[in-house]
Amino acid sequence: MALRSDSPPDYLRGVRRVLLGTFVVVLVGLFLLWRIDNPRVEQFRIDLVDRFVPSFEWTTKPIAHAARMVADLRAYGRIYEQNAELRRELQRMQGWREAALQLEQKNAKLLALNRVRLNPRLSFVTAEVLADAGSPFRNSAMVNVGRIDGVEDGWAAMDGLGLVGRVAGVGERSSRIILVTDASSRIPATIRPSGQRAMVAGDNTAAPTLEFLDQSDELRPGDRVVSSGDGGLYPPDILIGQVFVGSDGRARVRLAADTRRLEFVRVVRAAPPPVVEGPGGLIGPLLPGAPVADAGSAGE
Amino acid sequence: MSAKAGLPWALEIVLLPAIGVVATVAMTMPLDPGRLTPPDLVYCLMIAWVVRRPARVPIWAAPALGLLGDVLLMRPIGLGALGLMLATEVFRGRAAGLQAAPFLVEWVAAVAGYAALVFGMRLVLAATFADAPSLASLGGAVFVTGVAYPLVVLGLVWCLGIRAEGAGE
Repeated sequence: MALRSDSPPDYLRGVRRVLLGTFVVVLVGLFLLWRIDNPRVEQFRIDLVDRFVPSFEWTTKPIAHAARMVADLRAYGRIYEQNAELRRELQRMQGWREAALQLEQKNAKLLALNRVRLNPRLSFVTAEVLADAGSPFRNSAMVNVGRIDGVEDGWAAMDGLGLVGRVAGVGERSSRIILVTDASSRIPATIRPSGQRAMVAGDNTAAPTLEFLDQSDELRPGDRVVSSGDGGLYPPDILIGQVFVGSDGRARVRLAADTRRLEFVRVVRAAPPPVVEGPGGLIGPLLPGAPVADAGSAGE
Repeated sequence: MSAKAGLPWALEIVLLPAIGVVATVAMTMPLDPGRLTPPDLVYCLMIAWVVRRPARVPIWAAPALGLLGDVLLMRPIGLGALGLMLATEVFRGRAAGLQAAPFLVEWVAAVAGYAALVFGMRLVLAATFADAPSLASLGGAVFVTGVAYPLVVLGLVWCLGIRAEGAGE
């Protein structure tokens, strides 16, 4: 150490060295603890963040808001092009609206035809994004709902359109969402027209890759990717995005959710799929004392 | 050596951790989740300060701020703090030499130090079979932090008067 003449005397230097050594040992110990007993340390981390981040909300919120306003202001520069673009888009949308209306009518007719009983809708909690990970080690976001709102680990999170990620770590009033783009995110998915199964695997880029494809030659750019619900982790049939071929030649998913500008997310209550347990019993005359099968519910 | 330029001694010792906490919170701001990496302001702050006033940076500041950052920024707990502390101590030892050299040298040294820190962390993560971030995102982090370093130095020198204790002292 190149110490100068006004640096502390020798005995202090010894104390310094001991202190430094202690810190090194403690920090290495913490890291090993994090590696070995990960869930407990992560829970501790969540609790700490839960205590800490919401109390700083009043500082970060206005700044983040101002930054967004500046970004929007910059968009004013291209207002003419945007206007033209919007008009074109509107025209295209009118076409789609017509198609949607027709489909809706057709759908209503078909539903009336066979008296379909729809699944109970997915219910959800809407949450505001408080903070993001702020380091390249994790792609995640903090939201302001927690155990108090009934959120549990593993629930899926969407923005208005598509899957954003899943809850990993719940605190009392906040929870953390691991984004679809995170390197540790794997989602079982179905590719829509061809019906293939695949895994949507994040790799810390904006577009996750498609892995474990059966027949990659059946894949077409523009195919829709939806969650398959295999393994019960994600509810089935949530839109993830569209297939495209990345610059590295691998099949990737262009996300439907805008993970770049997350403000609000819906945390979807995981409804476990109904399980059929055992055979239905014999069909025959009702015996006295036998439990009455729930025949009444079918008529509703 | 007391208060020849700028702030009183006690205030300066409290000021560094306080600014560090603010910088850590600033890095968690929800500007652009998952896309853009913010610069590691705490690293810039520690290095810029320790190069200018090696005797005024308390020894516990780096591990404490590093741990806070680890917890809030979802980094591997303990590892970031260890890296920050080692980097601070290395720069503390070379402070005299860096003060004499032009700013460009200090800048290059700080960026090289950050690159070594981040890639060292990645090596440790890979060696312990933990998820490691991609090289490209780490490169982006190094670049952004390198851009932020002169700005942090400018802020320290102009706004707070944290100049090097000159050789004449």
